[in-house]
Amino acid sequence: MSGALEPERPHTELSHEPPVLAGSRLTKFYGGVAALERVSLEIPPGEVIGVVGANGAGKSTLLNLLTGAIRPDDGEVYVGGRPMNGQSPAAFAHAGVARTFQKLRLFPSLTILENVCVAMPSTERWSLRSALLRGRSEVGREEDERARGLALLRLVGLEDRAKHLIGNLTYGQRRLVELARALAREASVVLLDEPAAGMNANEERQLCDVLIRINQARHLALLIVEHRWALLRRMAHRALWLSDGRVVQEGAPESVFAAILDSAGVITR
Amino acid sequence: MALLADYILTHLVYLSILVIFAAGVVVLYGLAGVFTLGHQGFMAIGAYFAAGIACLMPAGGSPILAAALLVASVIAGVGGAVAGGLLLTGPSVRLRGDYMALATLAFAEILVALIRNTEALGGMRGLDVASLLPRASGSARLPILGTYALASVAMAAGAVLAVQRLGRSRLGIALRALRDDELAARSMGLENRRARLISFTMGAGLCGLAGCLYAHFSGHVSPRDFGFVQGAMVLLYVVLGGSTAVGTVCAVAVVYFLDEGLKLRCFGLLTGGLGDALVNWKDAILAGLLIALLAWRPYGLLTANRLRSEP
Repeated sequence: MSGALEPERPHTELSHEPPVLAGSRLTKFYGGVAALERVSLEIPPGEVIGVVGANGAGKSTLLNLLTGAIRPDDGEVYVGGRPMNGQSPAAFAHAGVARTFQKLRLFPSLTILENVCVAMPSTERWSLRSALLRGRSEVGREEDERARGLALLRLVGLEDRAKHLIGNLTYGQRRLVELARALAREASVVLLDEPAAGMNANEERQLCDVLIRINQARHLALLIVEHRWALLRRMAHRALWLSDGRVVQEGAPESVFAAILDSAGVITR
Repeated sequence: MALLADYILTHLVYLSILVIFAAGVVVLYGLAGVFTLGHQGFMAIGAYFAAGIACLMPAGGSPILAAALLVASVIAGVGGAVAGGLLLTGPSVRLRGDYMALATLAFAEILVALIRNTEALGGMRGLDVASLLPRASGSARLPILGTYALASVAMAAGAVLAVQRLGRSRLGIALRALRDDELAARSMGLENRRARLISFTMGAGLCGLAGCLYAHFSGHVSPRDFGFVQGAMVLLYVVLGGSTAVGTVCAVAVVYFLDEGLKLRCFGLLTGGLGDALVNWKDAILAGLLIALLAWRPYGLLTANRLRSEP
């Protein structure tokens, strides 16, 4: 893994395939107030998109709409070209969308390894019969999942804590477990809501390394909502600036950050 | 001596029935996180289906017919309870916490009211269950009672092992994930409806099995046997047992032993006024002891270390 936080955007060859995830004119109101208004976005395979904006700009609302956690009042969400409005979060996950949450949402009664394994697509193929009889094939599947889960924990540097509970980890480590859980979905796009929040410098570097490596190796598209520009500057191919529920600017991260600084009255060169 | 053996074996059967009933609630409440106050309804369905099938036994019918009806009664009882559970699956996907508890309670209360007002089901008087099992009386009583006790303990052990195995399986992990955080679990592709369907099938099925056994062993069922208090007591065993199968068995055994001990004046150790007071204040003493137990071990008597290690 590379060490420093130098600008090092992943050299992913961006394809011209149809977007893995797209939102068209997404609108969401909360009690008459527009949290998001006619926001459109396309995430092609392998692209890393950073979403920036002040608190209350609509970043998390956008992410929740794109993962089926909430339904848009207007507009449409497409996963792999398929319209997904009205579908459950599980349907979004099955279609290839994985996510993390702004406020950590791990499973406290499960071990760290179980937290990761439970997200694997193969876990969905459970039945009461296989649970009670636990035949050879079921044991084999469990072992396979455990091995893959351990590999993911190794990737985020937490393999030795596999049997621990979430309560025994630092906040930053919990964020890494959440990331490993999202990666376990083997999705085509992962949406990360402030993934570096609460992390120390080491953990942030590790997060960055993991994301770059996964993006390159799996051609995984990422949408990252983040306040830390350093992380986005290093990772994102494109940035989206949201303010009061609207897209203010979209483009290369440097130009978007410069526009934000300009609007705040900071002179940029 | 024979009297003591009779007493122990009889209570062993009732204890086993209670364990099977509680195992069903462990699946619903402990694993799936359904706050149920109506599981006694599933037991009532099991008991009344068993009683209904047993009524088909003609006087002087052959033992083979009795055995066939016994099997049919268990299948019908468990099947009926599962059907009742499936009825609640739909609402359980939409309702949360207290609201789900109220829905399950309403289900059980409607059921009991229906039984109470249906003359064909014996109304408040209840139903006598025709005996499909050899009656235990005279010198043959102890061996027969021993066989029943052995069979019911085996079934209870099977139920506990099945629930434990379920809890450790991938399905059990998925159920616990959905219980811990439904949105996160659904965002990871876990289907809530399917999980609820499976947990209600198994949970209600075990409660129905307990009802069948209760009907056949006690020989009489009435709406009073399936009231709110009976259901709440079983939920208390599960909470006291830390929502785990083995913990619940310990809780059932401890509370049952305490209850019987108080009822029998500390197993005959206390006599006179003190013994009478113990019997009169039994419920209050038991409630106080339970509060003390929960204060001492807030996560239950025997719970998964994982919960206790949470900060």
